[in-house]
Amino acid sequence: MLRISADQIEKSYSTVKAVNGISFEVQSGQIFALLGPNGAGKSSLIRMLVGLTRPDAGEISIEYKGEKLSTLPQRCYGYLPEDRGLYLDRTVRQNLSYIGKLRGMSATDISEALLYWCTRLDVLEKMDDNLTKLSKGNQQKVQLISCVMHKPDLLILDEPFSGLDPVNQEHVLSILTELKQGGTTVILSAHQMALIERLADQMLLLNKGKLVAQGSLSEVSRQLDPQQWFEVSFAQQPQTEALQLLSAIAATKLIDDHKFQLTLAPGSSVSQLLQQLSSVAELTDFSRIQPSLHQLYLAAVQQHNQQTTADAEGVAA
Amino acid sequence: MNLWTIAVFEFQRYFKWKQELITVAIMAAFLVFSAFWPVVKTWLDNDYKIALVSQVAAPKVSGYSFSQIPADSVATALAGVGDVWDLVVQVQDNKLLMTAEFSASWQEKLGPELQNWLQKQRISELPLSAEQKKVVDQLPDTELVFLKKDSVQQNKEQKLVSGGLLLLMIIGVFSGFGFMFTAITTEKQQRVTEQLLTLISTKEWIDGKILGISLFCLKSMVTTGLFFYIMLQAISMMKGKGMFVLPISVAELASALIFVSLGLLLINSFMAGFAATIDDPNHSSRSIIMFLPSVPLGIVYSAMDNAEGSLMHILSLFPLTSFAAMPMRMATVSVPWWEWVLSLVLLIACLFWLKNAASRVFELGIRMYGKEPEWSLLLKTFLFARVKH
Repeated sequence: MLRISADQIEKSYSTVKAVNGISFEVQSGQIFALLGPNGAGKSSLIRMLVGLTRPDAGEISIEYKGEKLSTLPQRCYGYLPEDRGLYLDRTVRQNLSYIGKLRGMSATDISEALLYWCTRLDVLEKMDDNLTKLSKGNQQKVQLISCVMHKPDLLILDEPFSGLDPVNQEHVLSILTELKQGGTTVILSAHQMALIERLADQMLLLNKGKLVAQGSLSEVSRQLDPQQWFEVSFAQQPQTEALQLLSAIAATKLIDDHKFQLTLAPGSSVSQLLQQLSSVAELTDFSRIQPSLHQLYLAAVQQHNQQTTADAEGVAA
Repeated sequence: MNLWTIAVFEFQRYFKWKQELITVAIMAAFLVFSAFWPVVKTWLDNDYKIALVSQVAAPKVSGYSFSQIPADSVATALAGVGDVWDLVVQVQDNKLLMTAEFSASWQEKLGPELQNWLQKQRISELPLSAEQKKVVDQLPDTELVFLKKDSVQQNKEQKLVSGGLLLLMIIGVFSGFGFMFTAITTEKQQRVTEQLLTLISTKEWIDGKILGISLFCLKSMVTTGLFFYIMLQAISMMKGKGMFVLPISVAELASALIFVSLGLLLINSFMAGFAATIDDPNHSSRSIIMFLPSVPLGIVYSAMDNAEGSLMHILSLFPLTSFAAMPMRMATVSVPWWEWVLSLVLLIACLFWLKNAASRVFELGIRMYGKEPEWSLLLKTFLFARVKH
């Protein structure tokens, strides 16, 4: 049983506030994603979670197997740093054996783990190659093996999909899903929104160290996109002016002669909207548009940046 | 347990079997060559043939074979230069006229010998008494009396041992500097640090790294020392003097090994601590600090010509220089046991303190990203206590 909670965490480097008052909670067996553009504060947050740096303010508390702790026990988790965290001048076997030994694994356990994971991630033939000889993707796979080989209860992965091709991204995704099903808790940061949409139970969207949205995918979608968008198709071309006059519609966007995108006016219901649309012309299709996480992410970050700039200008004025 | 795992890993990072075998092969080849050298030299050497136009007995110079010829055979001798003779020497009044086919380095060595030979002849022809001729011909004698038997030879060999020890220590210290500096700064830049510090404590890491790299430095010193020892044997054998015995006992050698090992640990502790504070080795002002450990060696070098002097006494007790000064002093003079013990105790105490101080600096530096700790913070951490950052 594992629970990690962060309360109003802050961290600054020189004059830059990398993390600004972030709070969240990760439950056992969850996949928790940290999202945000470069410089959002994801890696800073992860470094504080693994104890590499300490928060300037706020508190990280951990509950592990019924015990309350201030830091994670070293052998209960695996950590994948943003950049390669292995010795490039050593072979795959030497790197992984060394890490296994440092984690207290026996020689037999190390051999078995290497055989299993290197086969699964298709790097078995490269076991005796120096890491410099491996592609970026294969290096990332070796890095991932170093995190999972001791069967940890928690995985903390900073950009695990970085450097992997789409096929290997899918492969890693399936491994993470499998680990989650086996009870492993995963905290990860990533840019690959399509993968995160499918993978994460909970997510935290950050921008410039501040929280933008938080929760499950549907909760984050609601927070980022409170306006509901619908797509409607008519049998005949309707008058655009007639549509704009409908009280249940807040805004319209013409797609083609017969197809429109529109948002629901505040206080109106979907049934009201349907009723009013039917009065304009015969409806042939009506569906809700579900924006992708990628679209929501871009829109939210853009909006957040504009807001931050406006606030800064306001202060300056 | 982790300490030894880390130390072995660090040692093996730099220990390459192939290179070690090449070094051993070179040493073996050198030894074989030196054993056969006297035979080869005798076989290859042939004396230069010199025709000397003089009635006075020819000089004896190693590597040259003189033949006296009468004055009327000069033309024939000159015609044979290059074929029969390598050089024809004629004495013309106050001058030596030497004729050769072409310029060669062996002629330079012969010139002063012939000058000396001619000078002696001219002195002997002067109307001087035998006493006067002796005064003119000979330089005054000097005599240095040693009360200890074989001390002339021993003094020379002891200096050789002291110089050799210092050279080996320079190799050890600079190897440590190179490996520690590049290893830590690269690991920090490549984020290996991040991975490792989630597995082990900073103390375990620095301890293992210091031990592993110090062992490798010691290995480099031993290998180089062995190489030079074999070279000395080879030179001794080439000269036909037989096996060369170093004037150092097993106990002195063991003592030197203890001091040198502790010295390497001391220096590598310092280097590990400060290397961790360097963010970018190409632009850091900290890099110069890494050269500080070479200062004790420089000081000991300046004092080593007087192993019994007060300065060497102080340096062999002062813990930051004793690891270099004590073995060199012991190689030259006999050191009272209590000085040896005091020096060792002070060195161990200093190592303990410095390693802890370096651990604090290491922890401070290794967890900093994109910046280096300020000098004041660095000094405070080094001298006093762990500083929260």
